[in-house]
Amino acid sequence: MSAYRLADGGAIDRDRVVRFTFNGRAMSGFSGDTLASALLGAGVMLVGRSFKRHRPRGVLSAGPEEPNALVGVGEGGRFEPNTQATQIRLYPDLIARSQNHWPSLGFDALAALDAASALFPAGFYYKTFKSPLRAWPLYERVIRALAGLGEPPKLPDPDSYGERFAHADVLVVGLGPAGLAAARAAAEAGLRVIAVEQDFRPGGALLAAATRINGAPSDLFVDQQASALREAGARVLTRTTAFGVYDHGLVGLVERLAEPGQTPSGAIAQRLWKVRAGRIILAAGAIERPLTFADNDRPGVMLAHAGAAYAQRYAVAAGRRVLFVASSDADYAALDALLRCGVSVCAVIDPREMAAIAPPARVIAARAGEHRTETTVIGALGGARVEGARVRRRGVDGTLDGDAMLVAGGWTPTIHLHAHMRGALAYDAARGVFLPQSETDTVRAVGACAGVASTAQCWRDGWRAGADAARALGRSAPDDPSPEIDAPLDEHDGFALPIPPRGADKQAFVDFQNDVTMADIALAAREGYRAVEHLKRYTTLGMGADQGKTSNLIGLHALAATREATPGSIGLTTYRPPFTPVTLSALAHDQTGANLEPTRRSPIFDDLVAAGAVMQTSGLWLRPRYFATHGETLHEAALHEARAVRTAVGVADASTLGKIEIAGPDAGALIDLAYATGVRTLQVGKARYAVMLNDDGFVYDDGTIWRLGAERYLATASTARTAGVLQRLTFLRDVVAPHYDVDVFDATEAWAALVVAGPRAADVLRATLGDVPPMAPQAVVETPALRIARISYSGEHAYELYCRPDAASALWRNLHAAARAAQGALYGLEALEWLRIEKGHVAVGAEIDGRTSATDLGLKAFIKKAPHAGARAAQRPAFTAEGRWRLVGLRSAYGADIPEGAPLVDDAGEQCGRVTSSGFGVGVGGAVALGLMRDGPAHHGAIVTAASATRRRHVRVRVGPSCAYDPEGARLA
Amino acid sequence: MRLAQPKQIMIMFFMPRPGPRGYSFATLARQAATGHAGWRPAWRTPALREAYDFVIVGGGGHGLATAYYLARHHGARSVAVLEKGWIGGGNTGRNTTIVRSNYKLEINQRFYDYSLGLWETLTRELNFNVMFSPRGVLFLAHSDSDMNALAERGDAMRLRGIDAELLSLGDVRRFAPILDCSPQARFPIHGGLLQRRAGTARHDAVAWGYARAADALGVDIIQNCAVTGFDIAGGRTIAVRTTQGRVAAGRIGVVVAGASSTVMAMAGLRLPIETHLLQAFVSEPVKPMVHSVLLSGAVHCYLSQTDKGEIVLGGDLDFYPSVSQRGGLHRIEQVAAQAIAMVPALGRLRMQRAWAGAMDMTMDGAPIIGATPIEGLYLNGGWCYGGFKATPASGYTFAHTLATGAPHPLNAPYSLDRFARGATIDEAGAGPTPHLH
Amino acid sequence: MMVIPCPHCGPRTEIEFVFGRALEAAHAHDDPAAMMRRANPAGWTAEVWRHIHGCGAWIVVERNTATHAVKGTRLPEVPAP
Repeated sequence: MSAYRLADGGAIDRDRVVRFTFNGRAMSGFSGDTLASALLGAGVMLVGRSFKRHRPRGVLSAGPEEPNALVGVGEGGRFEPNTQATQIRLYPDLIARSQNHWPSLGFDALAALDAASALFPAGFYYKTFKSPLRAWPLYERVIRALAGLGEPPKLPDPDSYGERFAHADVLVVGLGPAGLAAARAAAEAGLRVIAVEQDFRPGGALLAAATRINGAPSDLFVDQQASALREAGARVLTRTTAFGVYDHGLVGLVERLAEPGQTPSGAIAQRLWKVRAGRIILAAGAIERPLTFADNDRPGVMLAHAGAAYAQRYAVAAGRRVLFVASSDADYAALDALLRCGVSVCAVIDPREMAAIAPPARVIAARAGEHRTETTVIGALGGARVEGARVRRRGVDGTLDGDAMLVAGGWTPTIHLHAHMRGALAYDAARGVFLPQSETDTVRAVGACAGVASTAQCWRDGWRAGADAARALGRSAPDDPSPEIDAPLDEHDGFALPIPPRGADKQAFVDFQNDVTMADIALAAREGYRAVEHLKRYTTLGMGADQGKTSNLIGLHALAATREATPGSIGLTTYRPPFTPVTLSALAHDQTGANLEPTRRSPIFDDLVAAGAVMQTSGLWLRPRYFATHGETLHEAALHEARAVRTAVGVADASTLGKIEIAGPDAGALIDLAYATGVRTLQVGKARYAVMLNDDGFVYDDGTIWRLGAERYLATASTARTAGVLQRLTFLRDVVAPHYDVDVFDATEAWAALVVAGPRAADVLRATLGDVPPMAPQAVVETPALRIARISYSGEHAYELYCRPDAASALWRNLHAAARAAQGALYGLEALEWLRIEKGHVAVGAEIDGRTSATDLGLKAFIKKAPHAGARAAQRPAFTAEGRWRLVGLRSAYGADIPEGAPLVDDAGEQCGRVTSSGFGVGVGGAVALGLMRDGPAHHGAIVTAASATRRRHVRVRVGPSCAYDPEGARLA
Repeated sequence: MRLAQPKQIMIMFFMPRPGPRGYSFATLARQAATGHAGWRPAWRTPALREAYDFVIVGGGGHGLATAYYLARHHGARSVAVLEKGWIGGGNTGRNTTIVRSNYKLEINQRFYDYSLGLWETLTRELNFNVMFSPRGVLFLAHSDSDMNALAERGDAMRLRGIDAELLSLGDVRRFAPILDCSPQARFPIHGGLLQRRAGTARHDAVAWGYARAADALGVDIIQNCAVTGFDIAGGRTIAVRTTQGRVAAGRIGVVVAGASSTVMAMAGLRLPIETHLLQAFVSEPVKPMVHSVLLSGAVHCYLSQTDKGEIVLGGDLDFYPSVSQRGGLHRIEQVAAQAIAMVPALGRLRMQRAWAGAMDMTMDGAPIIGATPIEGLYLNGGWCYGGFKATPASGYTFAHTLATGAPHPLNAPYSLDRFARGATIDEAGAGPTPHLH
Repeated sequence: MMVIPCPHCGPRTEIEFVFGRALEAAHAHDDPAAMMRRANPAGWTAEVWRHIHGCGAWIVVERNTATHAVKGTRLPEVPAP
């Protein structure tokens, strides 16, 4: 056992040795240790190198505020960089490595940067690396390699993460004395309580103190409270951080079920909780600040109460010859704990004169080696480990030997979660800290985070908040059991900032993680970066992974000192979630892989696959692009399929098409309002092509409207526009015309849609369905199980058949068999595209791009004179201006495929349009395309170039009418 | 319309340094010897005068750039920038720092590529390192039709001399091996469109650099000075009322992203703008991991790595009007999921800092730079979430507009009256639903 | 994540809804000039939202854009209180 592990005490299980490695060195600690306590117990003081200056660093704290002791833990996909050693509960075979050094932690060649640090003050990079201009990427490469802290993970995270929603009357954040009291009062009143503690043990500050409660060590009391809470029905979550408060009482929690780098023992590594809390009682405590003297970052310089925590909770001494640096009477409680644990404190240093120090504190100090009053620490001695302190007493400098310095710089209330909802803060000038000014709608701060000093008061404050919550919800509040708390110096206030920091020492660190010194703050102020946000951004103060938990307030005081202003008048930077960093995997929880977004499939997906369909992604849908029945290529298959449609018959799945039922006395009126195409004359049993405009007058979608009955219609919508069309229809009905009596129902998934197209379509239909009456173009037939419309997208005699999804498979197979018998084929999206392009039909995403008007698309004939949504917008002057890009058909002049999307360039080299969609026209025998071209219809016959620079293809195309195939429509008759 | 790019490198080489002097490695080294005691404030703290030729409302990057170009190119000697808080504190200081010009529509391409050209020499222009880093912006394609759409964009860019390369899947894998290029991905990658000249810049530096350079040319930068109203007489603005007093102004330029509607309402105007919330967040810093800007339309996520080592992630708007600068957790969850889908190795990084900006979204997704119905009052706003990259060109063209009273050819299409005329510039084709742009 | 009380379904979380547009713009839907000019206040406003993952109805939501507080909701045909 190392000399730093105390002989007895601590909440560790000495019978359970836990082995781990640090930088490859085998070490051991005990069950109950954190990685930090185990390292300290093993005598490891140097644990990392700082961000900018590569200074040696040790453990500063014992909690989530730790700026220095960041390590990489785990291996492979579980490797986690930048993990605070104070926040890892030690587990067997933990692998930890220090960060940001080369070649090794002990000998870091980059520490030369510290020697040259005068050249790298705050913001130096804004002033240099400017010339030659082109060299910046080279400078940047070096800067990037030097920056960053840990190594990046290289492999995917192999673990699973959970997500859970919960509701609570009261969510208590933090289970120190105040939180325990609040949770217990609320739970015993019968409220639904969720109580969270980021540590793996409840207790908060009690874990670091020599407090006795009801005559016993406080550990016992804490355990009793935790079990009482559970018995009262509260959900107590340890190792769970409330990282953010969001709208309307939503709190994000992250529960760690496995430690960083550890293989989870259960199904998940972490769980993201979203708790909707009626009230949030914030009992997050306070964080101690370091002192700002030269070389205050040396390994072995530690926060006083962290030192006490390591002794009391982990039985680890920070050093063998400890120097204790107090600022106020309250700090002597930590000294008391240290001494009781048997830590050897060789000197207690206090800037005050003896008479100003409370007698009980003097009594405690008398148990240490010596009590140096009126003494200020002006520097630390040593390099990779502190070797003593430079002190000043009445203007006389001296040194004190020691191998650790425990510094108490006052407490900063942990008000983050109060401030997330913009809760007001008030500056307490007497104590130099910001406190919650009032409770917000949902958050009430209690205990130390509300500036309450003593353990006993914290308990009472918490109990009151829990009881108030109970009363507010109509419950009777239980009586405060008023535990008897015996804590040394309990009534003394430890919040006050001891000495407002001044000076410009470039060795006195404020933000340890980002190497921001007092000199940097002075420089920023000198250069005009005096707004607190400018200070933060210019110096990077508080922008590290610790988010400035130990540094922000010191920095603010230092800034205020340069400005002759008060911190209260300057104000804090904005607090935002997360309170402590949250693993991206936990935020993503189960939204990974196929769960990221749903995959939408046709009801006959399996049949399509069985038939050889090669799928393509289309939004969230998978749609058959072509059927590779004999190992054909895309082009070969599409050619075969399109020819089948033109010469015999093709069968396709159109189930992704939007199908919206509109029914009721005002169904016709709603359609009239929503669509630019008139449907008043549409007869029952007929369908009509219809255009819908957006509110800006441009074409939004096109589809068909089937009149199924006097007051019943079916509207189809493009796959990609279905949600939008439904949105427009319901908006118009609910908001614009709420007096209309009409139902709008999205029946997209209630109907499968199959298409039979080609000269032999009627034969196939008859062969499959038996007795079907002859249907004229646009005719609609409806039976309970089937709806058939004779409408065509391909330009051939065609039918759309809608049936129940569960009947679709049989219908599909029967149609396929009949089509095969008629020398037909299945066809996919590629062939469908080719067919519609040569027919001149426009499509959403290609020609209907949100910027084209009905006139641009040659659809003017489908626009009624009567009012409709978007009509007035379409009358704005630019809609009729000259030079608009309008729809044209394009034919390859010399046979080459036309690159889709390519600009159309005239012989002067100017762009005159764009290819919108392109394919092979089996009907016209050659490459065809549709395009939008400046005053297009005036240029039929012209030859221009479809110029695709990115694909290195330049194809000469002849401009013509959009419909290249059967313009008279003879094949549809 | 063909505009020369500011290919000033050769010319500048022989010209005296344009920006304010004093920032160089030599001065830094000299200052190091004296404990950096001799540095001067980057900009003065002048008192607000009673009158200026030009008053710029809004001390973000765009407003400061406008003031700078007014002074530098138009000889304006009486310019004030009024900032209600601290300069660069709006969206200039809360964005994902991406600079690119890979737009689809010609008007946008020309404007943003002019801006990109200015970015390329901005560090020299301002004598302030804005760390413009042309590390490449890669848009990913997840289907053949995505590829065609990216080719369409790239072809149109190339036609205007803007660099664009269509990458195959293999090219993507080589360019950014960290991406999940496997066929098992929820949205498998098919390829991408790369603009190598595009990249990132240091956002705060842009505000500070323009501020320092404008200040050196005599521009008064007034912080903590909120506008409370406009004095309008005979359909013309004559003065701005502020929390620091009334200031008479020849011409007023309002450049207040996130508050355009509120400020212009003081002049009785309603704008075709809706303010929405956009969140972004950064991970803890790690050594170099992501070397360019990666963006996927299928999963609505974009990411890059700062020089400090943090991974910057952004996604969709929160999709409802808000000026709260405070977003919802569900969007963060979604962006994290999307980012992991793109780059699986991100899973074990942690979100360290999140923020939200107020985006002035217009009815067509394009900005507004130009005159308003009130004489003397000009608006520069509605940048949706593309304002950062536009900063130099926005300032450059707005300065031109203010100085001459007429738009520069680059910003003429971005007029406020285009909505009434129907001449919208709808890159996304999303129509008058601001949050869909 | 806000809680929006749907007049049909009761209090539901924000992610069940989609924002539509400002109520003023909804009422001016067929007048392009009026529809596109928004008050866009930093504060209280009335908007139409759709309970897309619930009853599907469009509702009017009175909401504060600066604080995200929700004052109340109603069906569009119900006049403002």
